[in-house]
Amino acid sequence: MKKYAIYFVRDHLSAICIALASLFILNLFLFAFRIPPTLEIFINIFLVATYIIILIVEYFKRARFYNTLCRHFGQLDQKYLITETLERPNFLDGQILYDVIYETDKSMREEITKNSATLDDFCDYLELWIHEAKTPISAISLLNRDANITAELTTLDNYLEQILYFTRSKNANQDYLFNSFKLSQIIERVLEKNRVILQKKQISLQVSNLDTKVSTDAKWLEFIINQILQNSIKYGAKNIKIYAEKSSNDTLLNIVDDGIGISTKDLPRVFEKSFTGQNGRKFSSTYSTGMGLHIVKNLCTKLGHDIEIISTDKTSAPAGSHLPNHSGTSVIITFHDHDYYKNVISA
Amino acid sequence: MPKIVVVEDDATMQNALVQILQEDGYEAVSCNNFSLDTPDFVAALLKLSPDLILLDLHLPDHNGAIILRLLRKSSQVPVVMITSSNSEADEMIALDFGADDYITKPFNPQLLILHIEAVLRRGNNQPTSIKFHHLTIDLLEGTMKDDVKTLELTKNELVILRAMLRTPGKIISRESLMTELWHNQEYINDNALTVNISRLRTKFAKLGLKDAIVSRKGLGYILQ
Repeated sequence: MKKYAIYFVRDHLSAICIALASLFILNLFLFAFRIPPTLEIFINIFLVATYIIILIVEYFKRARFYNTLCRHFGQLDQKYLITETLERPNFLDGQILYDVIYETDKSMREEITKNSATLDDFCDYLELWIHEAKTPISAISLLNRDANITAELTTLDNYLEQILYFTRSKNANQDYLFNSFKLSQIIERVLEKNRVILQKKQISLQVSNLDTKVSTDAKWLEFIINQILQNSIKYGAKNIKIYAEKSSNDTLLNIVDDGIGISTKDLPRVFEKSFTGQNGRKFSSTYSTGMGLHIVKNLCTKLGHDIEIISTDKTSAPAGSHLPNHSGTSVIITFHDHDYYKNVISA
Repeated sequence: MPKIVVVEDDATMQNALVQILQEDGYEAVSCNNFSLDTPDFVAALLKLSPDLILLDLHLPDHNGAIILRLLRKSSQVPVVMITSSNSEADEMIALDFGADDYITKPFNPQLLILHIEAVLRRGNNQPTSIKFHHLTIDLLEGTMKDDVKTLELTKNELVILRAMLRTPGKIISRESLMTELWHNQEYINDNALTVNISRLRTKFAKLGLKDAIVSRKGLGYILQ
């Protein structure tokens, strides 16, 4: 308020100067015409008071409007809603400002609505398209007897799923369905899907202790685990261990492999969009999009599960150590046992 | 032989499904009068008197779930749903509307057969023991015995044997055995399968059946 008053005076400085100058000239005239001094003082007081009153009235008109404007603007999350919180002011420059902001907002919102409608259309089409694309893939996998083709089809299907879940993870209104599932049931579906690739690459599996039930959306979790498994397969794992542990009320699902691992430098960034680490690029017999883990992280956040990756690669072993090259990645997904889920499921 | 009716709009898929089921010894026909309205379509479907219906959830002119609900009003015939969508909701709807099982696209032939067999078996009383030559294989105890001796089977051996006993005298591929094992959450590799088969052979031999399991190179095994 105080600050604004200073600005206001500074803004009107030229007007005040002109007024003072004309008052000075007026006084010269009054003196020249020999007006009695009492009258001259009265005229001076009268004019100065009138001018100050005009300034004060103008000041308060603006101060009321601009202070509310600034306060609301600071508090609002969606800044574009600012005109909704204000009354149209009763002075011209304020009215112009108000009208311009209002019209700008309106046209911007129309533009956004148009764009998000286009995006929604595209997402719907994409989802439909993926289902369509799955039909020929299914037909081929039914007719095919060749393990190599099966492996390629599985990879293709995984890429389709990736884009499907990417759209879903971005789409706020895509709903998921919570239920209570045995981990073994979900793991079984993922492994069954990748059986031929796992056999071809001679990866051995140790699966244990998965009878625990967790609250989740089975399809989403299936996708998440599938992505993690794809990474293990891609990055040279020969042994994969999958097991669950209980920690107080939480269930921790561990997926541990002995692949090339992730360097300490890259580890904090693996969930970033389009991030392909040093090992990702080095080991690129297969092209890495850097999207898999990013989508996984988003889906986990939406489902309320925590995901953590612990990894060592060969470079992080102490120099000159005679230990066998020890590398590998552990992915740990934590399922919280929260009352919220129970309410969702029973409802 | 059980009769299976396939309801699938995609021609290639439909033919592939019918072919696979026929290869596996089922009587398979497709029902594709999709121009009929839903109640008539359901009536036509039931007229084929199927033992099991394989129903795609996403059909162009019909809603698979609605077909299922109408079907359930007049018949308890087992239904396996084919879902292409990766949404949990679709499968919940399918099961809520009375499907016995569902399978998500894409799937391999062995897995389809496994699901169908499981659903068909559900209706009948599962045998707890099977006679094979002079031997009795007890599926609950996991044992194989003649009049004198009883040999214990491991879970893997039992799964393999149970699959073989379903079609004795016919070739069963290694792929089918692998699918069956993984479906039973035994994630073993190729070598382990070979080891398990040879262990089974030894056990058969100990009970006096020397050549019970015959290998057919490139094809699989025959139990005879």
